[in-house]
Amino acid sequence: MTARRARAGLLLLGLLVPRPGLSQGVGGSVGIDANVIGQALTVTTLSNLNFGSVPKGIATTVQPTAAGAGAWQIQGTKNADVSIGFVLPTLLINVQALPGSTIPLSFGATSGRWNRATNNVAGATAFNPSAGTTAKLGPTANPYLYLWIGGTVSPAATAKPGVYTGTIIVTIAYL
Amino acid sequence: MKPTGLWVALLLCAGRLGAQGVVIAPHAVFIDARTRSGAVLLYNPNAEPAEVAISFFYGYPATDSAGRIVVRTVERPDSTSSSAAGWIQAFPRRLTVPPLERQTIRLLATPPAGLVDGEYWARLVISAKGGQLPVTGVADTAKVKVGLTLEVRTIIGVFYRKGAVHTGVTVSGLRTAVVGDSLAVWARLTQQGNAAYIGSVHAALVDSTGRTLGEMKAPIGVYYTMEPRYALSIGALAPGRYRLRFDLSTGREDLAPELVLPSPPVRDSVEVRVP
Amino acid sequence: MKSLRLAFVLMAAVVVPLVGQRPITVTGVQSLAFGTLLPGVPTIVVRTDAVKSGQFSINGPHDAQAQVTFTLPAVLTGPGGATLPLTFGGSDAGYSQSQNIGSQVGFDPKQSFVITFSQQGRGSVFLGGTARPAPTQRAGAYTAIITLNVATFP
Repeated sequence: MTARRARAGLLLLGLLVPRPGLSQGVGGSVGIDANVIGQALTVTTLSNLNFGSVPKGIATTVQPTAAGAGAWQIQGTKNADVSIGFVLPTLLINVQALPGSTIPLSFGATSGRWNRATNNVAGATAFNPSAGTTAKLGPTANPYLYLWIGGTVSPAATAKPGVYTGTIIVTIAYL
Repeated sequence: MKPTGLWVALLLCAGRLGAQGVVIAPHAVFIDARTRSGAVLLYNPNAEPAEVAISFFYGYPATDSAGRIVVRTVERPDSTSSSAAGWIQAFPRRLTVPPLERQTIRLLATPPAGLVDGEYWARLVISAKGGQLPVTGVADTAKVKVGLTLEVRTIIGVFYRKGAVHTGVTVSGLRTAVVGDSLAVWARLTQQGNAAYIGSVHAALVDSTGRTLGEMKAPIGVYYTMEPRYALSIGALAPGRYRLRFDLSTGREDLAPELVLPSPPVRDSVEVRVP
Repeated sequence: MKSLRLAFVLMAAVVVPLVGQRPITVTGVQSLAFGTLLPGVPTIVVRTDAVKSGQFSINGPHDAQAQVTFTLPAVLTGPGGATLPLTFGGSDAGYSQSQNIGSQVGFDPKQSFVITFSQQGRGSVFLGGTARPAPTQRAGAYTAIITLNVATFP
């Protein structure tokens, strides 16, 4: 009886004593931090105004609805009003061997277009790029505004060869 | 005359450019008088470096006669104005941001001594150039070639706050007109306190049961007095009486909450009759 | 009685080595700090970034092996309940027996990884990741918690 009790006790103790090296889980934590600085404003040029090959002595126009029109995408705060302005060259200047040679460049009252949220010039609103306009960025799903611009070049029949340059400045102001 | 001599090739860059311009954040910078400094982050998402120049002027949103919101520029603000443009500087003022990299512009304010508590404003101009575009496609040297430089100027607001600043807005002259399938809404908004009212405007057209038939929500900044015109898309309305609810609140999702000055919501409404 | 005494002796022989084992501890040393984010622009923190990477210091039995497992959040939470997505790449975690950030073995934090404690019973775990704010991400501060679990083997 005593031996039986001893064996039973041994068995019980054996079950209770923790074995060395059994898996123990211990945890610790750290935080993750970030600070979103605020809504960004991005102006992306989608395509540049392209007149292609133009005959001398003949005015050539690219409509804002044409494939060669300049195009921009503005992304920012949904539904925000933005002011759109352009600084447009009136002359393209020859910067090579024949300085002083220029080619006139002009923009009409409907040379500009804008469309809220949708990249489709067909449904866009016309405006005079020389005067600028105010437009609204799109809603939550599409906080974009799209701009297009066309223009007219009028090279003289005696226009000199060389490289003619100009700068188009588009100004976007958050209101 | 050679046929090629009759033609002038004007290439204001053929084909698609890809992206130009830089990403700018935040779109409004708030500077506290205790630190007198702020920052703007630029990111160049393009494959080419971007040349950037920084400048300031004094201006604020206002409305024109048609109710459109525009930036009113004051070239020579007097000493009583709320202009901070003369004493805020940017470092650096000119820089090149490499492709796919970020750059921080630090703003430092050095206000005049004895500046009265309140909020002062400037407009920050970030001009970004992507460099001269390549001239392509014309092999005949007798033709004219053109290279066009593009520049994108982004203008954001800068707000300097000294001491106790508080804001508010009043609404008056609320009126409407049905224009086709839209409802035009005008309101006269007047800033209160010594800081611009930065918040959101919400307008909703409801019927007699309270059902909303059209609504709009937009961010707004009221610096003095302005009379903006809004448009709600309402479709074809049956004859009857409706009500336009118009309210302003300082909740803004595009600005960090701690930057927006709190102010109680302001509400107004007006009856809309459709004959 | 002899059997019982023998049983107690054996039990002591079993128990004594357990009492002498070094306990496992996990200490969070540094948060994973993405800093200032631009909406729409993903921002990466590499595990070798001494300033921004998340860092844990772990202690355990010298030369012993253990399994480390991360509990990783899928998003950060910010103002008004806005969420900002997080991703972790296949090599965004690292272990260094010498606790030197410049000397790590990379591993996938989404999977368990077996480490060996140093002769001093120490080691460090480093974590990087990518924050992906949406273009319309709400402005403000975002936070989350990373937990590292360490379990020893039998």
